[in-house]
Amino acid sequence: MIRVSERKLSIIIFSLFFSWLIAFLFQGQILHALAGYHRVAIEGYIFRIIAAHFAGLFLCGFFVRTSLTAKRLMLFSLVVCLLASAVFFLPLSALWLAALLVASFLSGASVAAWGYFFKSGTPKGERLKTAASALIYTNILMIVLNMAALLISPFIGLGLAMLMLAAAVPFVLWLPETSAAAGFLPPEPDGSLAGVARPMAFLCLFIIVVTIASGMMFQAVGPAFAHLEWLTSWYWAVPYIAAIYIVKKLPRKANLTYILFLAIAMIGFSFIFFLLLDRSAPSYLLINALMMWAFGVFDLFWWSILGEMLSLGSNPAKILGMGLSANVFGVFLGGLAGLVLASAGTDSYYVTLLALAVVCVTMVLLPPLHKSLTGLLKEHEFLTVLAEMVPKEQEQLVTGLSVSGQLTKREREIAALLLKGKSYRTISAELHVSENTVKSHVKNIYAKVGVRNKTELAGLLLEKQTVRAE
Amino acid sequence: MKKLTQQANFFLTAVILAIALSVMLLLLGIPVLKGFLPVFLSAALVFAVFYEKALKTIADARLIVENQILYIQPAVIFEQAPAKKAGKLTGETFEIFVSCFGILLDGRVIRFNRGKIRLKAVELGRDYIGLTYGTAEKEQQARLLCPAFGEEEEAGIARKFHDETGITVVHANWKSLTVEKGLDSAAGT
Repeated sequence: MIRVSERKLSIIIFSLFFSWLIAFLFQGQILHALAGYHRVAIEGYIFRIIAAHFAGLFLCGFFVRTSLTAKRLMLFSLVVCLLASAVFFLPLSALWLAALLVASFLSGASVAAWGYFFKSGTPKGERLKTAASALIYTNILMIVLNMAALLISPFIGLGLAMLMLAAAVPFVLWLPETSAAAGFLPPEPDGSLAGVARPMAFLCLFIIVVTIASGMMFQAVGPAFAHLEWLTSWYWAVPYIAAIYIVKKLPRKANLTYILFLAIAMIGFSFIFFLLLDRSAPSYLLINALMMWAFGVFDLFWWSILGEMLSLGSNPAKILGMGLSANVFGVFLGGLAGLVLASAGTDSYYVTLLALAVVCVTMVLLPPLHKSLTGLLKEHEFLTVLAEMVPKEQEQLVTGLSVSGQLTKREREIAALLLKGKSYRTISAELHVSENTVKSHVKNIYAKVGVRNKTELAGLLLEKQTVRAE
Repeated sequence: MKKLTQQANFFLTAVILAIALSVMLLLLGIPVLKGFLPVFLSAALVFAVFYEKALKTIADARLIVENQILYIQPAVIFEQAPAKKAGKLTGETFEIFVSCFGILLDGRVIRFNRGKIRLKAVELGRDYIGLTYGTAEKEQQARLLCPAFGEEEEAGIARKFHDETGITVVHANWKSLTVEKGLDSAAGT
């Protein structure tokens, strides 16, 4: 049984830690304010920070394999990040870069490790709400930290950010050391299940394509409205928070696909308005609202997909880490592209046009990407449920179809292997028939049962099983 | 299968020829001949469609052969070689394959259990096998003459049909197709 307190703990820890990260370390306002105070060009460090953070996210899953290790890593990271943040009270020195790199790497690893508690603390189907809550609280805290840094003093902002980290420590200590039984799945029965590799690859591609555009736009929009420092310090997160809040409140059956397409359109319009309008405050309000609303929707979308995917594998740190590293990679690529164009003397007008072109490409790519992704995830979800069944139960499910006069003995054999997640090639090898034969039988199976693909077949069988159980 | 492959190769050759002629016309640039360009291109398109159909038929034939339940060789035509080529026989074989996916009658394919056409009944007589197939609206029966089956062979064929198609074979052991025809003729007079 999932304890409610663990869910809240995971949200609190994430909010405190992540607010420090985005307000300070990861291109945060506090870092920029400190750099401004010390008259240091921080741009040279930004890409190294992103790269170190990417490495932490990506590699975490390879050395964190239990929730106990995850907890220890998070505690260690909090302490190291506190010490690294303290370095910034001192004038610029080599310690700054060292602190930034170490903190970036460890913070990336900690975010990935948090995946263990995201999975065990929240039941499947509820992870969108947890992700939404975590992102909302994070951004609210971030606004407070940014305002403190800009309106009072960068050191006050830094101090408050360190307070967030320190406050996270007792909550991390309260985390359980072993994940709840419901959080883990049994290992896959045989090697022929694709695992999460394929849906993961699709999702990462999806994330990279979208965040390239965002990275490029930050390079163009940020400098263009730098003179509105007070407004840009807090307002940029408001549409982002609003979007996440609204999507969180949508009914479960709401089709997020339409909202995604709307979000792409909003990004496109924000770029167009950026090209057409001036650099006044009202223009910023409009452009930022469109852009950040859209990014809020996208962020929540892939956080929730990643959250649901945590149940499909045995190492949540790996899944969350790789998914988020795609996000960071996209920002890196987009930012790099924007920077290269800017240093080549390219007008921000052309940078925006290029970003708009990327958005158009995204619009074309997204429908098939999204369809494949949700189809794969659904299939995976069903296949995992079936794989968890005792073999006799699986057999009974498939027999049910043939008893009703639908499947022949051969078709039943093939359906059973298909529902175990075996490929046509594997099935053909096991039954000593050609792949073409397997495909023909599978087509017949789908036609007889009245489904269009494996996902629908698995869904139908599970539905029948539920009805029978009732 | 050989006939089907030959047919496919013929269409492919025709496509390549039509495309080659079109390219030649373009390169030569003779205005008078340019008028034939749409003709050759259309011909290439038509042959390409036939080629594609032929490939589909070959794929179906291959499927039938790979899943054969019954193989019948009704005839072999061979040439007797002259003395100096003694030992070498060349000839033609007619083959019939019956499977759960259809019947391959030498160069002709009868498809069932794919799409809307379903195999509905199988009847085994002493010297024939009758397969009834069709859609909900229309039905057709194919009766193939074959040597008499032994008991074990019959049981094996029936079991394969049942496992692959779910159809229970009707044994009409006392019935012979030639006797049946004789009775029909007698009734006619």
